[in-house]
Amino acid sequence: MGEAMKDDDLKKLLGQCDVPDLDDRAKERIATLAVGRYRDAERAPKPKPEMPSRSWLAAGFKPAFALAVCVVVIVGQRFLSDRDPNAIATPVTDKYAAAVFAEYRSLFQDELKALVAHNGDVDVVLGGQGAAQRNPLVVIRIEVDGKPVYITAFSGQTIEADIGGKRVTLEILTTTDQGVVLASDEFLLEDGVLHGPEGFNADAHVLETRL
Amino acid sequence: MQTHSDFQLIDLAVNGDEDAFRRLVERHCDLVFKVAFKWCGVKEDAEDIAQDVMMRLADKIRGFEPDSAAFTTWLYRVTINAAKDARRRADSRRDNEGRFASSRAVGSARHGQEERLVQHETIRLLDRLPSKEKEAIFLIFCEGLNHKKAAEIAGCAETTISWRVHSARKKLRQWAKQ
Repeated sequence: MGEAMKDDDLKKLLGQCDVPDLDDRAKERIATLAVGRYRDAERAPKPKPEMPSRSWLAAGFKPAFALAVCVVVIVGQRFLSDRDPNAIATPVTDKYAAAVFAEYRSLFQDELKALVAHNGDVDVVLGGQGAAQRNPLVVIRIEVDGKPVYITAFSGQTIEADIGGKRVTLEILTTTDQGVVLASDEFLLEDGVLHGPEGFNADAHVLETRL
Repeated sequence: MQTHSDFQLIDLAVNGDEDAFRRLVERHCDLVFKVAFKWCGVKEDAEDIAQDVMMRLADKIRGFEPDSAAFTTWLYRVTINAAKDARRRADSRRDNEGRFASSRAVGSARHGQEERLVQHETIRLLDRLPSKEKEAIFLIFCEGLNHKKAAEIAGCAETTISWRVHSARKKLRQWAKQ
């Protein structure tokens, strides 16, 4: 395998695989079996539409069940929103996520302010929190010209940031055991280094991921 | 025999035309088999997978929209999922037998059938990748699909496919050096 492992090399290499043809007997057997199944499915009785029950008990059950679900959801949300933000909570409500989010903001805002004051072109734009209910909060620290920049976002969220004087869009794909996976046309987080265009490289690593 | 497009055959099969369904199966059986073979590297397993996929097609065809692109995507997805399932079953079987073979070559030797040996070292190397990365590499480089189509089959964002390809290539590069 070539050391460069370029796309063309890989394509060529994998394309070399010797793949046999499906022999006619096997094809015939598969087609016959599949057609048999197709025929059976055609003959299979269609499921009858569920008849509405007229019994008083059954009629009352569905609304009662729906009410019970609503109560559980409301109580559950209240319970989760009152919990210690340091605790693991799944799923989290937007309110809870916002609390955790605010905690991180307060944690880093002094450094952010100092950084912005020092270097006006560094800014971090925080987007919506729609993905918060299922994705962990991530905080990425990178260094630009030796100065720390914190990017706070949720997994699955797309964020925009001015990094090194250049406005970029980063999509945080997922969090893994190894850290945060970033996707961008121009930036790539690899081995703890954020690689960018024109030789831009910055140390980057996950400070913490939290639910 | 009049040549129908996939679109026409699906439309006919959805409406109960048995002959159209048979032609659809015969037309795509080979593709499914080849995809399965490239994934698992064992001819007999690939035949089983092709059969499994075509049986599922028989169950599902009546719910299909006559859309050729969506049909191919569906075939790829079901084939790869069936291949993954087959692999999991094979691994589980090996575990149950107390064998810790990491490559199919060992598993194949268990059956004592020379033809079951993996035919290409590169494909064996792909086996070491995490399943989703293998899938991305497989769709892009073995099947020659673009990232958009691969993302549709894998059921994820295009950027996710790009990332998986990048990550897989990195691992392959490292292993190649070893």
